[in-house]
Amino acid sequence: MNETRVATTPRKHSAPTQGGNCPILLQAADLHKTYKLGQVEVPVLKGASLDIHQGEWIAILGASGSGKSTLMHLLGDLDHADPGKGDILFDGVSLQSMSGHQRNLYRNKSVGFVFQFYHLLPELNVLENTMLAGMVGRQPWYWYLLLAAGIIPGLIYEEFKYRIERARLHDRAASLLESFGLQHRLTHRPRELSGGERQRVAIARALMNEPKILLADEPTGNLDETTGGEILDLIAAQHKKGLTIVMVTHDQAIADRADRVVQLHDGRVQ
Amino acid sequence: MYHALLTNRYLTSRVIPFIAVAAVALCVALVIIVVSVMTGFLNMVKNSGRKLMGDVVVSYPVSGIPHYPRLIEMIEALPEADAASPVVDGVGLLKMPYPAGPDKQTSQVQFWGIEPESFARVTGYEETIFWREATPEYQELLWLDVMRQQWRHLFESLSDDQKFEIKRWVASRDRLRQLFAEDQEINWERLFISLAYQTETLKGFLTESQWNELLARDERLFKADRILQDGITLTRGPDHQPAIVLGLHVSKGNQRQKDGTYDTYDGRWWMPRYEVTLTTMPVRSGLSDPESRIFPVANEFQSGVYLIDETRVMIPIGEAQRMTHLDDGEIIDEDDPDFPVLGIDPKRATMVLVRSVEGVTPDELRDAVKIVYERFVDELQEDESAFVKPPFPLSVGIMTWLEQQANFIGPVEKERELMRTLFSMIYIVCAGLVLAIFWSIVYEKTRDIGILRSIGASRLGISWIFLRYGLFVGTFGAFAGLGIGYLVVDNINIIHHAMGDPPMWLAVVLGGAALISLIITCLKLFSGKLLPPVIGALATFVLLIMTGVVSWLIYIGGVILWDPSVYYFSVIPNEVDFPSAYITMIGAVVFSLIGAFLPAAKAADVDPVKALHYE
Ligand SMILES: Nc1ncnc2c1ncn2[C@@H]1O[C@H](COP(=O)(O)OP(=O)(O)OP(=O)(O)O)[C@@H](O)[C@H]1O
Ligand SMILES: [Mg+2]
Repeated sequence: MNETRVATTPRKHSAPTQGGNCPILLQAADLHKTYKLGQVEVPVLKGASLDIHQGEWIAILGASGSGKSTLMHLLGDLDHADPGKGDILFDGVSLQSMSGHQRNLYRNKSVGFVFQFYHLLPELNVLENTMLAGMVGRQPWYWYLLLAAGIIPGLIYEEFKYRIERARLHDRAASLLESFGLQHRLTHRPRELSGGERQRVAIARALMNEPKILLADEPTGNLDETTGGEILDLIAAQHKKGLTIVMVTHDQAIADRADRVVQLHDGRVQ
Repeated sequence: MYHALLTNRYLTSRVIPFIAVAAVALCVALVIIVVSVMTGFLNMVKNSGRKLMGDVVVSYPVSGIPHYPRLIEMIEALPEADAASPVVDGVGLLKMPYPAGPDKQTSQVQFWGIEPESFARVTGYEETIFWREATPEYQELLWLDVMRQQWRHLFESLSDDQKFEIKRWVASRDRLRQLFAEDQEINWERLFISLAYQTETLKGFLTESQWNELLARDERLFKADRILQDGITLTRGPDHQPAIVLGLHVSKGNQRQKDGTYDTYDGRWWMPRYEVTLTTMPVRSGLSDPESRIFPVANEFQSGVYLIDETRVMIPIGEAQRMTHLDDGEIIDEDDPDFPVLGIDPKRATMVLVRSVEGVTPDELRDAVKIVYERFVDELQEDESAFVKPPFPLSVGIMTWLEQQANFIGPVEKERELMRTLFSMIYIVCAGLVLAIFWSIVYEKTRDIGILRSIGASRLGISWIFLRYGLFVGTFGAFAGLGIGYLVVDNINIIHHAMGDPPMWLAVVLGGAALISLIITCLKLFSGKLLPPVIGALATFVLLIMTGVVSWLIYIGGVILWDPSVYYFSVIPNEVDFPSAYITMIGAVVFSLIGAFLPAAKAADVDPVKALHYE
């Protein structure tokens, strides 16, 4: 409805320090986000804008409660900005203009999300957690109607399809996990792993579908320095391979490893 | 495709969904069992008609239909009719051979005078005959009867040599010494009666003609299937006397065993040994004296319909006609002192039973028979030689078995529908159960849902996890319910028998299990946890109660829930009503799905950011 207006909103970001020659992959434009706590409105983002270029590693620094996670959620399409106040463009396409199906695809294919608290499914083993991203379906809505109408053939078909998909995804997941040094952990449950190992599984899951951009919200926030360093090495390796990375931290030392550091302050990127 | 992975994992990693599956299965099984038994019952009522009285009955009670052989001929000429048979029915009193002593018991019976050969073609009479052959034990009893009657005659026919040989044989046997009376003379009566149990020895003492004379008294002694022939032909004895065939429950001598089969009470009151007296009041000819006749019992029949087996007896149609004054006779002008013969009053039948050919429905046959009957009346009206005319079509009942039983079948059918409806309420319980369980799973799995959404799962995809889960529970429950229902219905008579006569081993096994459970519970008391001993205590308690119930059943001698005198049939119907079963199964799946709808919608609405927000 108002994509055009949002798309023409003037950018308010500083010039990139690196990768300026590369095309912009992800662009946050004048994002506003206000939380409502009862009657009180808490504005968290007040016109945050950020250009993320292809192949760039950006670290977002900011005090606790400054809205870093909120921004990341908006970038990853987990949450929406206040209606009509700002937009996010991926490869030049406004997220708001996308259909629900396209947004699901965006979350599934284009971005990989890594959380501070790993967020693995406790009932699935390491391998399954990783493959899960590859299994998340791309069926149209009426597909489920067909399955439900056919009940038993539908259930059998799904079971069958699952086995085939599983075999197909197995190799990619296993090699990813192996490259992260988790080859002996494939059938372990998340609760049997250390924090560092869990985060590696979470990163493997985020990379499963070969996303264009990795969004990491304090990926080392819950880890000790050495383990955190290992995780950062892993991220750096992916960056070297050309992956675009947006990483949130409140640790200057960690931020220094990135190509570019931006500050989130008073609801704006500085 | 992650749905398959997740539902399987969610399903196998917790016990609660299995409780839901079990609940659905029990509901489905319950409906299947109840409806199957009731449907089976109705079908038995409907099918028993054909076995008992063919497809269509033409009836004109008391006075009967004259010229019935002609009617039967006309009916049998119909392409729809396979066979027709006349019956003369009435009520009477039957004097039974028991108890010993002069005061015998009397039973009220409904007698059917039948023409055995055509009757068997119309009905399933031959298959209902109970005693298919005289087994050695029963032959022994028949020998006993023959010796009781014949010993004196036999003794008189013995030569001195034979007597000497027999005496020597008796003297050589210690056990037989008691047969000697005080005066060292043999008690021949007792000797011959005891020889009924060792007929080979007896045969050795007798000449061939003496032996054959004995055998001629009762062909059943050496021809095991003669008794079946007697039942089919309604005759007994060497000169094929007219005989009676009793419904199996007419005589108190037949005891229902706990497994539902029948046997005679220690053989003493095995009816084919005896004679009974049938007394009727011929009401047709106004005031008249009762008619009584003694009939030897040829056999007994079991139609499976208790009410019939309890009251009906079969006799040859000629005898029945005589006893009800429906036999033929001359019509005399009583006003004329010369008593001139005006005409012949032909023999009559109160019913004509008709069986349809394969593929013709009873209704079609009934319509055809109605037309034939009208023609029959028309023809006889014009026939000068027929002095007596048949009753007019309107006064004659021409009905199918179902029409005759409408008063009975109608309410049972309504009752079945009522049951079906009432039991279908169970679905709502199923749906509620699925809802509650899934709701709590969605609540518990909110974070997982948030994760799935963050990696691109659609809202519908998330709902599908739970809908699929509901389908799973419903489908599994439905099939398990069908399995349980099938097993129970198929073995319902065995189960009923077990309830009537609970096996001791069951009590022992249950008691043992309770004991083991108790020991384990006591050991678990030291585990430092509360749940294991509580579960153990509960299991022990349930096992103890089951042991108690079984022991109590054994103590009181079992319960018989299916009383054939109440439920019409002597066995419980044991066929699954599959159309109803399928509908029930579909209902279970649909209602499980409905129960899953709300949790699925709640799951779809999970906000990933809130779900992932750490505490
Ligand atoms: N769902 C919510 N409802 C209300 N307020 C919220 C919600 N989520 C976040 N906030 C508020 O928004 C502000 C920004 O939160 P956010 O999680 O983005 O901060 P952050 O910069 O990531 O902090 P931290 O470094 O501690 O992770 C906080 O003041 C927080 O209280
Ligand atoms: Mg945060």
